[in-house]
Amino acid sequence: MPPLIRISNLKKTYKGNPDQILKGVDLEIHQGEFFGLLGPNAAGKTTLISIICGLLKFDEGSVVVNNVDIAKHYRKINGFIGLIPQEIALYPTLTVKENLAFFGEMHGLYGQKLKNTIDEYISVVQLEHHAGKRISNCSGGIKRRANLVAGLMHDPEIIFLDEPTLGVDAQSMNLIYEYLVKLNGSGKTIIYTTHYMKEAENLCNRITIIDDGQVIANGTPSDLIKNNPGCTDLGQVFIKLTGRELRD
Amino acid sequence: MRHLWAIVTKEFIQVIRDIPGLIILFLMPMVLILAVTGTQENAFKELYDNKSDMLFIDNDHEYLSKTIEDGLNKSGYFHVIKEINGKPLDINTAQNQIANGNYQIGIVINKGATEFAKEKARKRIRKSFVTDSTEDNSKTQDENVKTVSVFYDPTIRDSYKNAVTSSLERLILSVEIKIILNTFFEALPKELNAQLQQPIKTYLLQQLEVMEGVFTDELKTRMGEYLPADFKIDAKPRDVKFDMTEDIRKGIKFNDDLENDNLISIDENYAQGQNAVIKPTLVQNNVPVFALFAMFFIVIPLAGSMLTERTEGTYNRIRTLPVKYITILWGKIVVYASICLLQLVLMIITGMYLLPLIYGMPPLDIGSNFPALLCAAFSSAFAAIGFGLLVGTFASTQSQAGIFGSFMVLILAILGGIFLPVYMMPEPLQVASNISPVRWGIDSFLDIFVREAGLKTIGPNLIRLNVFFILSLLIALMTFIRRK
Repeated sequence: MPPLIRISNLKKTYKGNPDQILKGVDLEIHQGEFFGLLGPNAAGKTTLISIICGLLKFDEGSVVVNNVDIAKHYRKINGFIGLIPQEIALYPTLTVKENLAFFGEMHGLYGQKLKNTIDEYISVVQLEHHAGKRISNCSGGIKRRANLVAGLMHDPEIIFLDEPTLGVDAQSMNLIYEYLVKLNGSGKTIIYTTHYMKEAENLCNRITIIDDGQVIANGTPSDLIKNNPGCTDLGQVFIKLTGRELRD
Repeated sequence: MRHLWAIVTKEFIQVIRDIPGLIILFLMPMVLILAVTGTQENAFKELYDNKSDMLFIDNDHEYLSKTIEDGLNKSGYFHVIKEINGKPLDINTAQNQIANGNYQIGIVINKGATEFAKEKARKRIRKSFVTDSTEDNSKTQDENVKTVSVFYDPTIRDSYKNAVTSSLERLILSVEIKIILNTFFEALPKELNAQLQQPIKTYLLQQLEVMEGVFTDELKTRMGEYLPADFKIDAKPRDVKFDMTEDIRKGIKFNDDLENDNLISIDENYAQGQNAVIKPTLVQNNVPVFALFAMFFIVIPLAGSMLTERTEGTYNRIRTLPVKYITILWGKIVVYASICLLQLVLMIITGMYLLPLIYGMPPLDIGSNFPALLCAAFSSAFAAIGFGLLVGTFASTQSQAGIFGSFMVLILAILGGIFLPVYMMPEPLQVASNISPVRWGIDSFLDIFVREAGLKTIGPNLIRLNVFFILSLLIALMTFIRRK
């Protein structure tokens, strides 16, 4: 079975910055995987995700998502992917429900179907009592949960999650984990970036660590630990491979 | 279409929930127009140093026209234009040029003006010195002849018009006195009674008292030769009191009617098209000017909305949506253009009801050419939106957009003639004003409100406004594509 996402020799340099952000990344992600993309700050994770989602152009290499060449037809995957960015990508003056309605309508949901979908997602992330609140008046946990489901309104096949649990309490974090596992169980492919190693170790069935624009390790969490003697968890593997030097 | 409707709804909700923003958008322009119009109504602005073009048609070719032309040139305020494109000016050409806004003032010295004024002077002198029984009742050639006609651009500011009229009146008054004096002394017998000296002196002083400003010195010098040796020209006219003995009063009859009857009458007109009926007022001028100013401030919320999306992550999410970016932009355009139009309506209401109510000014007359008005409103709103799109596309932060946007609106508005009419600006600024969309909008509205112009007249400006909008939209789209 061909990979759902195939990245070959991907290179990217930003204008005005002579340093190459991605230096020939090769990567394959298969359907149904809970894929962890780890790396220190400025390693190139967000750039890589942005390229796969068609948000950024790249200099060299190729990116194919669900048999679509992103360099040529990036718009064709718009309905196929769901992006949950690191920032709260919601309109602060709109309520939780209005935000979900807007993104649902943008994906072609209308009328009763839209209403049912909103109700379903609000229920899944337990936002029933906060649906009428403006985002600007919501707590960090509510914003994160709303941000998550706003990217899922159109039931995408590939879900990109860029640090979705950043700054949330244990309860919200737990709810998000459970829901993501459920989504993955239903066949969705999840590409997940995080700085919480324990989170990645528990959730992901395969992990790639990138540093300085290059893939430096790839495998299941247990393989990565096994292949790095002296390491008992993913956190230790990460420090061993990327070093202790601060990156930003 | 459903996508567009969803975006419009989203933008609309965002706008109406920003209460302070709405207050700024709608209330501030109204306060501005009330404050500025009120101030302008009461303040008299001095004539500016900048030379103004003045069309001059000399149909007299005599002493009067030559003296007025000479005076205008010497004043340093006017650049006297007697021909356009090598052709001598006639009244119709001058009126058309002024009505179209190419020039602001035109002065016509009508045929026979000098002779008419001299004849009136002779008559006045005769009447002043004759007894009741010998009063000369003969009529002058034509009492209704207007010796001097002045045409103004209907959009000219009242303060500027007053300044010009005032200067012109002073100049004409000096010419008038010179004609009287010349006529008087020509007619005076050599053995004139010494008693006459005092009333003549007083009359001259009264005339001098009226004269101030640029022509007074010249007048004093010229009149000096006619005055008795013991008369001091430096004496303050206000201190001199009319001191005529009863005997003299009996001998000389001063006819009050004649005192008030100027030799040279000025006929003031606004140069207008054939069907023009709207009287230009401060309200007619200020409402479109400040409406445009307010409309262009849409740049702040519009650019702010675009930057919020860019900086807070929604921009990236939007870019993964199966919706074209132009649809996203159109959603914004619909909402913010509606705000601009609502602003305009409020400004018009202010001009029609609030200004008359508060200051007792004549209400705004929007004329009857509604298609032209609608086109001007939409085109101006779109141009304002275009400017907002540009700022929102290129600014990196909210403060950058806010500060740059505000200053640019101010600069474009100044160039557009919001504070000082374009015709009074120095030449380089007048050239620069041609590229201000605010000016294109203001000119369109002034043409409709003051000149009763139609689509044909405002067409070029409407094209400029819409081309500016389309270019701005294209630049925003291209930048979006290039950013990838």
